[in-house]
Amino acid sequence: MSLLQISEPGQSPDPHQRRVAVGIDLGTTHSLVAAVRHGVPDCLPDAQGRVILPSVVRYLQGGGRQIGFEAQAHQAQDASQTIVSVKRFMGRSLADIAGVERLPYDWIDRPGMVWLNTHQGPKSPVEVSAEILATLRQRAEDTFDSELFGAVITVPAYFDDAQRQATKDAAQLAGLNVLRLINEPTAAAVAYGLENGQEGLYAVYDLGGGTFDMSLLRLSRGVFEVVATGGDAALGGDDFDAALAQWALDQAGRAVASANDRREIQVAARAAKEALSLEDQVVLHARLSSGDLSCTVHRSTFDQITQALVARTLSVVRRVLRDAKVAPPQVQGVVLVGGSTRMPAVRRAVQEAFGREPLTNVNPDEVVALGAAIQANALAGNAADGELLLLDVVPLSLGLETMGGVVERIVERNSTLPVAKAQDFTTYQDGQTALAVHVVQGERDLVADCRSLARFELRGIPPMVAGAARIRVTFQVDADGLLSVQAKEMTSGVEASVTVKPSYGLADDEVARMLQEGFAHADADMQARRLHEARVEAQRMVLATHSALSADGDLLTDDERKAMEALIHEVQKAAQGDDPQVMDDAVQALAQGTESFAAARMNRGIRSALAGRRIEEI
Amino acid sequence: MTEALSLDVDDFRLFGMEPKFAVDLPALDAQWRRLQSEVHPDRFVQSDDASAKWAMQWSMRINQGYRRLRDPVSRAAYLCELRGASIDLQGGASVPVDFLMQQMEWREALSQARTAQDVESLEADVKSAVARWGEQLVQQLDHHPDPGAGAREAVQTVQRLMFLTKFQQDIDRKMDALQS
Repeated sequence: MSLLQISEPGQSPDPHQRRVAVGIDLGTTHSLVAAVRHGVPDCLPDAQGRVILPSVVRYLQGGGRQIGFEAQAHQAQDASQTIVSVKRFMGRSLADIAGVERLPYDWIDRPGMVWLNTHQGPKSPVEVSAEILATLRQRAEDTFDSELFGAVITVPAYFDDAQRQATKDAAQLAGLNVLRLINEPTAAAVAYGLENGQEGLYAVYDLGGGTFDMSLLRLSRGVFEVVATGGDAALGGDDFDAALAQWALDQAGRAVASANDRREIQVAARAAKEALSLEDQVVLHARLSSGDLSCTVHRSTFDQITQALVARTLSVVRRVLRDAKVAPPQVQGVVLVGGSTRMPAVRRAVQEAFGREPLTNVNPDEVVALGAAIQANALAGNAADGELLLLDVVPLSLGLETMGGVVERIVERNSTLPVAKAQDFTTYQDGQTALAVHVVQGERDLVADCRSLARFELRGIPPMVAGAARIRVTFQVDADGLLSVQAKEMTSGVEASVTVKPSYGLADDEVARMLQEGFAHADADMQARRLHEARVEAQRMVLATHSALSADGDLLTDDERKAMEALIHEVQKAAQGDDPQVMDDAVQALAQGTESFAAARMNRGIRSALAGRRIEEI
Repeated sequence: MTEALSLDVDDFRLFGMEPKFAVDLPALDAQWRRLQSEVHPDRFVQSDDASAKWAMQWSMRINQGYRRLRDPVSRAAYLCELRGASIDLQGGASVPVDFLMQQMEWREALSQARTAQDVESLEADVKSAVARWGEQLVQQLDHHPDPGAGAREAVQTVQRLMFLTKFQQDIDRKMDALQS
């Protein structure tokens, strides 16, 4: 008789094997951290019991900073040093930011991504975001009294490559091991779908503080497949506030005299907007430097002022449905996500577009973080069933600039991740030895209308007549939605290749400097950190290889097995020493030594999937 | 290790299906989800590095095959290539005159469309043409006594359908413009 495993449902049977993994919703207006505890996802509260952390960072004169509620409370007195909605600046240059003239910051116009001058020197949006993430990381570590294994961070589905890369960098800067970047609507669908055990087509309408996303998903036995996605990375609740603020100023025949005034009227407009979700009319009240401003706003007036913004979301909804070749009645449910979906006009518009009442039974502020926590728990290997699988897509097409500034699309939008696609190009001049590659993202035909992601040159092409060279450009987008591009000349024996990660103005040495400043690891010495990380990695590899051997060791001959065990032993020995380089080398050797074993195991998995089909068909 | 699959296996074998144009789409969808459940990188987040690398390779390969088999035009083109008939649009595709005339007529109608209804009726015409050529592909690729000759005949049908796919994209774009 075998013993029953004593463990709670949804938990790993061995508590010592449990890894603390969290989901983080890094939002425009506020951020949350959640984790699965006792099989249930929960948002983690701060010491005062609040789960929400306002995404606000204030840099104080003479050092120090405030993050969250404290910073938020001072925003109208210290607007230029209190950074709100920093998510809107991630991976963006000054020219990209809408309404920049109305924002109170001291901008530094840098190529790729804009920076901000603060009392503590120039800060990139990545650093500001890292402050928020580090605060949440600290909260989680205090809650569990343990180091985190890793985190899943959510991003808007419509974020482009530069914005995703910036988010991942911010997480790394905050000392987080990023298990995955996942899309906010997909996370919401996970939290919603798993809770309700749904199957079929579901739409997620996600209107946050600064971004709008719409995703259509097919749910089937724990597989969440994104069929199509669309959105607007610069449309959110902030825009509704700005529209109302402008209307109030116009009504009163007033103008703002300072950055603090601007912030004051925005805050007042936001409060009025939120109150209008519950009441038919409210009084908007702002204390401007030129005297108080007070006016009555009716809900119908507010709806009228913001009608164009709602209409913009609906045109995205239509396009996503068309991309998916789906008619509204085929959609079985519409999930509302994001605080901005509390506006009655938004709910009404969504209901009309789909012909059914939207689902709102999970808190729209928390649902994204909860879904991220469920995925983090699964990726960390804590979920007992392991049935959950997210299949997400590329939100925006990726391509190359060709002659005449025209885009050649390589990866189409809505391709399922991970994806690799290659296309061959040739030279257009006799004896041409170099080729400029310009990588762009977007749906428009002209390069000028798309986002430029990276430029690089392939050099060392042997001189040939025009059109004889065959240059293969390969695009690869990984499971985080991050792109790498490779170009290679195929006809000659000479191989010239280059791999780029799209850059947005953060050079490696800048990242190094930020780490050195160590705001996220004030006490940690870099050397000790490096050693610690190498050791954790070595131990992880040993564990992983052992578990692979116990699962599929029968694929190996005795000699092969002995060789592998010797490599494992080397890693173990290295991990007991104190040289991180020796550890890395041993891990590398083990990875190489297990390559063909891994290939054979993967084959076994694929064959069992094929066999599984035959059984089900009978 | 018997019959190991390599990354250059053909799509039909990868999905355990007969190399035919008529494909059971729900079965293909289910098989795709089953394969991804085995190899997706999310399943290998804490595995050894070699496994994670292979997972990425196979996951990409499976997505590539799925995308190719899921769409009837690319599936037909792929079958033609497998049977040695090349679909080369650059190589001076010889499109019959009547088809070109039809194309020009449709493009004209699209540029003159003023309402969503105009576009929808045009779209219906295109859809019925797509269905007609699809029927023909079944005959050419699945029921021809000589598969090689059938594939060579199918090349022209595939090229027509490629034109129609492009035209459908123009229709979608026009619809976008009319609705926003």
